[in-house]
Amino acid sequence: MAKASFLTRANITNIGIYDFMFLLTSLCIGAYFYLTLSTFRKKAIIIAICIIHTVYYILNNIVLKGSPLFDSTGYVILSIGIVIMIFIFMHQTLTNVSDESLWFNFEFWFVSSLMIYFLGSFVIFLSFNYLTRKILPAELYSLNNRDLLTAVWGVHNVLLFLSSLLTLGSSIWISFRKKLP
Amino acid sequence: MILVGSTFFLAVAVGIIVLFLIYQRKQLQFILEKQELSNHFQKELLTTRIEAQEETLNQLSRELHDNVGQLLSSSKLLIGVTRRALTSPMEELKLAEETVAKAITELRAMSKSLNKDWLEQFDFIENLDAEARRINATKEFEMTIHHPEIINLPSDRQLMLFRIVQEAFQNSLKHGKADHINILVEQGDGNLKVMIEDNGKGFDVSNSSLQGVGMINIKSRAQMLGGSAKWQSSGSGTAVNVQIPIQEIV
Repeated sequence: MAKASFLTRANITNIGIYDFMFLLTSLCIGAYFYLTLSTFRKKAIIIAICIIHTVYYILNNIVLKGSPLFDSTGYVILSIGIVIMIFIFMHQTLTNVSDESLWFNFEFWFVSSLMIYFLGSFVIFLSFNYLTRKILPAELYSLNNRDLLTAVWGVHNVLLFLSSLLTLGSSIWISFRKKLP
Repeated sequence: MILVGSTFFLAVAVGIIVLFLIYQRKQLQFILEKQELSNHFQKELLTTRIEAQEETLNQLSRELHDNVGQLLSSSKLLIGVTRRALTSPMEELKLAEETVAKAITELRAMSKSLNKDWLEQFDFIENLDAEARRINATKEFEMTIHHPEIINLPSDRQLMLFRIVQEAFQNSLKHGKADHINILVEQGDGNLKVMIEDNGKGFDVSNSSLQGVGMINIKSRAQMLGGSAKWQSSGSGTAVNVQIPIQEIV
C-alpha cells in the first residue's frame, strides 16, 4: 500500500519542479549576493556555496535520479547556504557604515525577508521528509496526520507570505520616502 | 514541535534584524558625532591659523609703520636738511628726497592694508579700491575692479574676504607673472561672487603639488565664510571664483 502510494505520487508529482526551484533559487540569490558584495573573498564564498548546491542538484537529480518525495535535505542545504550569504551581507553592511539609515535601505529589507523565510522554514525543511515518510505508510496514514502535514506546509506558506510582504512593504515605503521633498 | 522550532527560528531572524537595526543606528550616531567633532576641530584649527596670520600681519604693519617708516622719514628729513644746507644742491638729491617720500607713502598704504584694526573701520569695497590705487600707482601692473556700491557683510567677514582677494592677486603677481588683474564683485541670489582673473602664465589646477600655501589659505578662508573657492587656469591666465552665501553670514 505504501509502495503504491509512493508510485502514485511519483507519477503525478511536482517534485521535479521543486528540485529545479532549489537550483534556480540558489543561483538567482547567489547572483544577487555576488553583485551586492564587494570583496573577492566574500564573492568566492558565494561562488563556493552555489557550486555546492549545483553539485548536489546534479548528484541528486541526474546521477541518483531523484526522490519521489520533497527533497528536504536539499532545501536544508539551500537554507544553510543562503543564511551564510545573508550573514556575509550583514557583515559587509556593518563594516561599511554609510550615512544612509538602514530603514531606507531596500537591500537590507530584501535580505531580511530572505532571512525570515529561510531561517523560519529551516525546521520545516529539516523535518518534512521525515514526517512524510512517517505518515505515508498505510498503517500510520490518517486524515489527522495528513492535516498535520498540510498544516506544517501551511506554516511554510505563511512564512513565505510574511517574507514577500516585508519585501513589498519596504519597497513601497522606500519609494514613498524618496518621493517626499 | 515543528511549530515551536519554526517560531523559534523566526524569532531569531526577527531578533537579528532588530539588533542589527539598533547596532547600525548606534554606529551611525557614533560616526556622526565623530564627524561633527572632527569638523569642529578643523574649524577651530582654521580660526586659530587665520587669527595667527592676522596677528602676524598686524605686527608686520606696526613694524613697517613704526620702524621702517620712521627710518625713512628720518632719511627724508636728513636729505631735506642737507639739500637746504647746500648752496647749489645736486638734482639727484632732490630726486632722492622725492623717491624716499614716495616710498613713505607706499609704505603707509601697505601698512594700512595689513592692519586689521584700520581695515575694520572700512568696508571691503573701499579697501579694494585703495588696494587697486596702490597697485596701479606702481605703473608696472594694472588692476581693474567692477563692484556694487556696498556689500552686506559684517566687517570681520569683509576683512576675511579682503584677505582672500589680496592672497589671490598676490599669487597672480608673484607666481602668475601677470601684469593685468581684473576683479569682479557681484551679489545676488543670496550669494556674493568674487572673481579675480589675470593674464598670467597659468598653472595646472589638477596638479596638487602646485597648490601652495596661498591657495590653501584662500580655500580655508572661503570655507570659514561658508562658501567655496574654485580655480580655472589656462596658458593665457587664471581665474579664481569665490562664492559666499550672504544669508548665512549677515
